[in-house]
Parts: sequence; structure tokens; C-alpha cells
Amino acid sequence: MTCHTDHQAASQQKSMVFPEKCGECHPKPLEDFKKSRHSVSWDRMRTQGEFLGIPQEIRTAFCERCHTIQKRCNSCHTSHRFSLKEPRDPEACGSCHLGPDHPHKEMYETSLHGIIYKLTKNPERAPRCVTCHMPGGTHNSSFGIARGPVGTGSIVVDLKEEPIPPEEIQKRRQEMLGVCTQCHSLRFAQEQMENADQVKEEGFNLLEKGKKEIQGIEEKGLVYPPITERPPHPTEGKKLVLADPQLYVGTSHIERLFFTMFKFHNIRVWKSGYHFSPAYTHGHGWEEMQLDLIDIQAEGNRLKELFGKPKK
Amino acid sequence: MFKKWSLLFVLFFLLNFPVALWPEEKIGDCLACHQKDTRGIFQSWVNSKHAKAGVDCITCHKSHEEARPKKSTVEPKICAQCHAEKFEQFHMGRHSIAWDRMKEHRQYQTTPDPLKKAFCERCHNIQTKCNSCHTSHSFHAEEAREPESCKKCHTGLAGPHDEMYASSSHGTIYEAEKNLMRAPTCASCHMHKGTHNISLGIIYDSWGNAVDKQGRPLSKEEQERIRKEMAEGVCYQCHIKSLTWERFELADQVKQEARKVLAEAEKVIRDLEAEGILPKGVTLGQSQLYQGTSRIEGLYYRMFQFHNVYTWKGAYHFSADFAHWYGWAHLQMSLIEIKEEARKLRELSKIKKNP
Repeated sequence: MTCHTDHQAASQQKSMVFPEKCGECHPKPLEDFKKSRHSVSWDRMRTQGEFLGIPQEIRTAFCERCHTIQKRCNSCHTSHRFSLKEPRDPEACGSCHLGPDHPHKEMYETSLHGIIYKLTKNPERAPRCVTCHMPGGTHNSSFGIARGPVGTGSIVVDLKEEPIPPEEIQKRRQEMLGVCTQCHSLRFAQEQMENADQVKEEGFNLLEKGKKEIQGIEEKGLVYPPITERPPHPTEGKKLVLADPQLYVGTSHIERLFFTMFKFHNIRVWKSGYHFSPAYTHGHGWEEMQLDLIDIQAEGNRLKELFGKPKK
Repeated sequence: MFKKWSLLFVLFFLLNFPVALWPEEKIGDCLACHQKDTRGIFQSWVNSKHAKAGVDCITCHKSHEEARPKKSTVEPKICAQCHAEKFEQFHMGRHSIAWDRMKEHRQYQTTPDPLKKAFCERCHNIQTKCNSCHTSHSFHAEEAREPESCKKCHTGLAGPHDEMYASSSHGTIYEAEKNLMRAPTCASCHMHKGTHNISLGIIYDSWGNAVDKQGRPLSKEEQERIRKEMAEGVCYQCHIKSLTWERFELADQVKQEARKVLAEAEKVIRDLEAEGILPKGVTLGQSQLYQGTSRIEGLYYRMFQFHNVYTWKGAYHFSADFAHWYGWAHLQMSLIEIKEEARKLRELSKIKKNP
């Protein structure tokens, strides 16, 4: 009764209990949560091109299962135990933060942080996800993150998608360094972060090379099917979309190669830089990006060779 | 007086610790060597329930002469002498035809002999041995109930059930809490109440066909009945009825949508076949081989065998990550690649005709 109110109300909303309800007893966590990107995950999903490109009936099985975190506390505090201990375990975050598009779980597990934690299960020895991203138990999981959401490159935006000023970015970095310096010297922590910044820039530079190649091919009218003969992009209309919100459906093959490069591999390069996993930032990231670039260039050459000749 | 007591003591000892004395007497010949040479096996057995119940080397392996030619394999029918009910249930499930189906498959038949053993047979031999799951020589029931135990075979490209489960809420909660009242293991759903019929409540075979163990199509009513076995027996223990059915129907739709993408890709390849760009007699899908075909068929192989399976099985295992990113997104991207490959093949054939 406390949470579901009554049978009729519960039945209508399939027994869902919204964060506002939990906030009646847990106001501080709710307030923190509202500052985090978790609290916009449903809204952002609804306007995303990739989401709109998926048949409506099956969106629930894909995107919605994780993005529903905006509307429920039991994504992490699973029903009906609502344990505090369980969501602190990296496994709890791992039910969404894994896989090709953002392998946070895999990056963490292959970092020294993750390995030591797995061996000792002792948060005094090595951090878990929550140690860095929810320090002091804050429910603002975007705490200390001085980087923009997926695909926005170097632009850092707030919850309303407005770019935030450099001072704010600097402030967030300092907040995160406060976590690092519990174990590491400030000099060392700063150096690591700056190194990751450099890795990120290099990743995006590489991405630009792939982008240029494809733009050239498109200008020559060699992408198939041509942009004019495709259904319009749900949010961008009839134009070449490279990187976010690019679709993986119904594009040309050369664009599809770029999709893999930006969506799966570039994200590993830079996010693993900040998660300190050389296996992901280099092997699964940078190496793959370089190979993607080779593929894109070779595909571009084949297209020019086969279809680029002037018609006699 | 002392003599009488010591006699009683010896008698008491003999009656209460038969394992400690009798098997050693009975299996003395075995232990003379195997206690040293295969110490691991011996130790596992000593600590097993079998040892406590007086089940020893001879009970299962019969004799040295009999064990040797079959490399000590013990067939399920031997285990059935004591575990008759489990044996019977095992035979109702698909594990009991794993070896036979493997032998019939063209991929197996065309794989070089020494590789067959290292690849296919290592898992498909589950038809002929109970110790695939109840590993030798502990034969633990507890061990076999852990998801790790199923993982040995149900992992990787061809059937990443373990990965799907591990990335579902079921798997993550179980991993964090190790508490069966909180979240199910593989066995909770697929071996409900300890049944060894692992196909209980499953409508589809590995290829996604709704057929029974013999390969006969299941009627709508039979499918309904099987689904109910799973829903009523398993899901309702934690979930409300409406949510349970909604989830199953959603997964059904995902499966259908994946089929549509496959069909579109198949049409592209069949058209090339009809135009004479590909040679006649292209095999796609269930009996398709991954070697010696054209590249475009190879692209379809990945779609059918990997991405399609991740999409629909990921959906029934409630792993959004598998269903979407490893499955659906890759199905779509492979379709793009197949269309592009077809375009190039057509252009090349045009150039060949009019150089």
C-alpha cells in the first residue's frame, strides 16, 4: 500500500513505482538523481534517431529496458529487496553499462581497479563503479564527469543539452580528482587524466579522417543507396549523417563501416582512456579504429574504381 | 575386559566407517596405482557423496578390462542404475540427441577429423555422459546447478547463452547476491524442480524452428501448452501474469522482425543466383557451411548463425544488450553489406560481359 497505493492504480501502471514515490521517504537521493544523466535517459532516448529507426513493437526489448532508469529506482535497487549492498556491486551497473556500444563493465574489469577489486572484494583496496561515480553515496551519477554524452565529441553539455563553460568543466575535473587523491598523489592523478584527454583528441582526429573520406565519396554521388533515394533520417532529414545520430539501418556500406568506427571503437578509445584499460583503449579501440579506416579507404577506392568512371 | 572393549570398538568402527575400510578392500587393486597416479581423481571421489554411499570404482567402471577400451567413459545407462528418474527425464530433453544431431550435420561431416574432436564433440558428447555437468569424480549436484557449469558449452559465438544471462537482470542479480530467492540461475528456469529434461518449456530448436525432439512441427496448441509450462511453473513464482506474457509476446515479435531482415538478405542472394551471377544450388541457413562459399554467402552465414540468434535468444533471455547491439544492429549492418556486395558483383559481371 505504501508504494503501490492500491490494486487499481498498480494494475494500470503495471505495478511500476516512480522515483517521486520513493522520494517521499528518500528526498536526498531523489534530488541528487535529478542532477544526473540517468534522470534524462528516457527523454533523450525518445528523440534519438537510432531509437526511431527501430520497429515500434520491439523497442521495449532493446532500448527501453535500460533507458527506463529515468522512471524507476529499481533498475539498481532491484525489486523487492531494494538492497543498498547490491547496487554497490559493479555487477549491478553491468546490467546496462556493457556491450558493443559502451563496454564500461568490460573496461573496468580489465583495468587494475577492476582486477584488484575482483581479487579482494575490498573497496578499501580498489574502487568499484560507485566509488568514483557516486562518492559519498551521492545519487548524481554524473558527478565529476567533465565529458559530454556519447557522440558529442569535445562539446560538454548539461542536462538541457546546453554547452557548459570551461570553468564548470574544470570544477568537475577537480571534484573527480578529489576521489582519485584518496589513493593517488594529485600529480599522478592529474597526469593520468590529461593523458586520457590526449587519447580522446587523437581518437576524434582519426574519426575525422574517416568522415572526410566518406564525404568525398558522397559528393561524387557514389554512396548506395543515394541519400535522395532513402527514407529520410527521422531527425536529420535527407542528408548524410556521420556519427551521432547516425543510423545503422539502410545506409551505404561505407557509412556502415564508419558507424562501427564511431559507435563501437572510438568510444572504447576515449572512455577506456578514462577507465585505465589498455586492453580496451588500444586493442579493442585504437587498433580497431585504424583497421576501420583502412576498410573505409579501401571501400572508397573500390567505389571510385567500379562506379566512378565517366559514362561513355 | 580390555579385550572385550577393544573388540567392540573394532566392530563399531567397521559398522560405521564402511567407506574407510571396505571399498579399499574391494577396490584395493585400483587404489594400489590410482591413489598415486591419478591422485586428483582419487581425492575427488573420497570427498564425494558416492564414496560415502559406497559407490566405488568397480560400481561404475566394472573392471579394468572393461574400462580401458572405452577410456573409462561411463554411459548414462550405468548412472541410471541408481538415478533412474533423472535418466528418464534426461531422455525427454535435447541433450539426449546432441551427439546424433551433430553426426548428421554437414558442418560436422566436412570438418577435418582431428578437429571434430577438439571442436564439436567436446560439447555434443553430453548425450553419452552425465559428467559433462556432474564433473568427475565429485559428481556434485551443487556444482552442476551453478550457471558456470552450463557456461562450458553454452558460451561464445554460436550460442552465448551464458553472456545473455549474465547481462540480463536475472544474471546480474544472481551474480551480486548468489541467492536463488532473489534471481534465477539457468537451472531455475530450464531444470525446474530438478528435472533433467532441459527442454521443458522450450518451444524452439537451436535454429528457431518450433519442432519437437524428433523434428516434427509443433501445433499452435502444443506450443501454447509448452509456453504455459514455463510461465506457470517458473515465471509466476516472481512475476505477475500480465508482465510475464507481455515479455514472451515481445520476444516473439523480436524473433519475427529478425526473420524479416533475414528474408530480405536471402532475397538479395537468391536474385543473384537467378541472374547467374552466383552458381545454382546456393545453400542458406540451417545446413549452410562456413567454408568454401562466396563472400556474400559468408556474410549471410554470420547473419543467420550469429546475429539472428543473438537477437531472438537475447530477447527470450531478457538481455537488451544482446538482442539489440550484438543482434539486431549487426543484422541490419550485415544486410547493408550484402546489398553493397550484390551491387559490386553485378557491376563486375557487367564489365566482364562488355569489357
